[in-house]
Amino acid sequence: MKRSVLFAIFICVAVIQLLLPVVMIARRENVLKTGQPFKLQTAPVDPYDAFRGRYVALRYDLRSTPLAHGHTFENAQTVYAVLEGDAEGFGKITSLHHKRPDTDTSLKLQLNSVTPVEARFSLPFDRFYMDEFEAPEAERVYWQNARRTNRTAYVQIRVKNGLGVIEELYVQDMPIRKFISYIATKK
Amino acid sequence: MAQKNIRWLLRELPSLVGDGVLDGGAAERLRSHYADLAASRRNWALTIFGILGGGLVGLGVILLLAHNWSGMPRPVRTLLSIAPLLCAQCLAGWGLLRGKQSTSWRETVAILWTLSIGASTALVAQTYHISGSASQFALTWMLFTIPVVYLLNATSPALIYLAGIIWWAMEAAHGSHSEWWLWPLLALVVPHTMQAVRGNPYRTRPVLLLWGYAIALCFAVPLLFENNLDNLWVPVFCGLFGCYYLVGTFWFDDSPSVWQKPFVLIGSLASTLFAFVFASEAPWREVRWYVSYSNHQFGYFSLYDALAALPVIAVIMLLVSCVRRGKTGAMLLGAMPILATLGYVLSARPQWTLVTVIVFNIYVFALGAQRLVIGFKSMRVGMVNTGILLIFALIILRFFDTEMSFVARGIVFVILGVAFLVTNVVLARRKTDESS
Repeated sequence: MKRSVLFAIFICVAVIQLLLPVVMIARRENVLKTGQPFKLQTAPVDPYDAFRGRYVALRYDLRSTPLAHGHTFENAQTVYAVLEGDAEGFGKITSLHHKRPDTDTSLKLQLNSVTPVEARFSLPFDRFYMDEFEAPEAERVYWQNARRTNRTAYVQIRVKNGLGVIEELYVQDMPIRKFISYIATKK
Repeated sequence: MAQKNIRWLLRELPSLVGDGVLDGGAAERLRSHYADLAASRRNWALTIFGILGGGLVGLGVILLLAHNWSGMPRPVRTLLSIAPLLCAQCLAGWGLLRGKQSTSWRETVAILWTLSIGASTALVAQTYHISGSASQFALTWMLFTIPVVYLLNATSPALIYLAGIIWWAMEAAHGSHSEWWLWPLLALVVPHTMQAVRGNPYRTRPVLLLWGYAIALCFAVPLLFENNLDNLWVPVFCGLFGCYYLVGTFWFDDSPSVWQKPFVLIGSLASTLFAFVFASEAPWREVRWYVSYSNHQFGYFSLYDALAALPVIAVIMLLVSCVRRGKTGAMLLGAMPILATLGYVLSARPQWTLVTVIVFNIYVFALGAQRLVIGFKSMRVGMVNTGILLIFALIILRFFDTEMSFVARGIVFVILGVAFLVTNVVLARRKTDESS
């Protein structure tokens, strides 16, 4: 193959490869800057990913929503949920849609199972990556603050046009890293 | 040839020329031939050090990024995400513009580039807490690796790709049909492999790629059967390894080194091992249980049954080709999948199990005897040794076999022993006749 042709192909490949991280970054930056914020109550653990590092695995109270009789949703279907905040800013789902609704606060998610009266799903924010040394301490702090009797841990997300991005993980209304340093100074 | 042998030959050349065994021209040709060989070995050493260096740097970058420098502001992390990929691309682009063709350069940059794609994707996912399983991450990474293989004509990213795509298929969510998508994805590096194999298939590059495919297929074929392997593993695995052995014998059997023949090596080892396993009654009892259970459960011929028959049909066709090509020596081991499938079909009837077990004992004995005979005829010590090993292993296994009665074992052992002694006497007499 001629060197100029090979180089032209290389440029195309390089641009496409760079577009992947750039598009991922741009879409999420847009949501973080202009998206609507919601809080989500969580429960924690401290797993590990060989390539992406340590993270806090997130589970939410928000796992199901009631459906109207005669709905047409199916198991494993991708849908759009419209979110609405309560008085304290915690997000709840007001409706599910097959296509993206004409509102900024919709979130794309996949249904796990559907019954005649209810849809169950997992929110697409299942991990919060942390510094490898902070993560074990975060896990300990998090367990203490996600018990049934002491639920002060939540995640702040931003949502825009179907895409949602985690902004911060809070414990007692403090970002988790700040909370860990606060605990350390108190000791 | 080993390095010490080459050195010995080069040392001997002057005395060979002096004694008139070789003329000066021939000695010079030998010298330059072995000098080229040494140079090509030096190039490979450079390539291997390059691959190790590039690989370690790439993996180190991934680990450093995985630490998660949470103190860094997001814009800096964002820039850092793209930096490794951009650096590797610049290096590759510079080399392509300058027309750099050396194997060591191509392989080093290719492995660095491949790992930087993974590092960049991982750091973006980490910065924005993007959810998603390891398998989704692997698939994205591997698909972006394919152009690296072809742009740099490099083998190391092709091997990483094969491993990564198998990882993806094994980890992918149930219901994603990854076991079917795996095949076109595996085919994406076939053109690169074909290009490497063309000409001399025993050079390091094609041999590594063939090893990659031989191992990848061992995972890809079972994945097709999902949960149905419990009752279909006999025809699937025996057929697959029978195909390996016969395909290897037909197209990749000219190399003196066994490591350069991955299909023959894996196929023959696995087929022999299976023949040993089937020479006992226990595996057949288990096969019978699963086969009768699945017949009871489904009671019809499923798509998986048809799929399992394919490797066995391929073995039959290859055996026919064996006869046509005159490669009858390969037929005995190559026929193992046919025997195993017959045993599998008959396993539903308990009265046939004993017959199957006896047939497999005779078969393993025949395999050992064949290697002994060929080894003695062609004076190949290795082959004689493996023949002896096979027969001894079979004898030991049957001696301690608790499922056969002492009387039956005793009679078989005495008959076999007498047969060996008679052969010994006949051979000794023949030898005496020849010497007199």
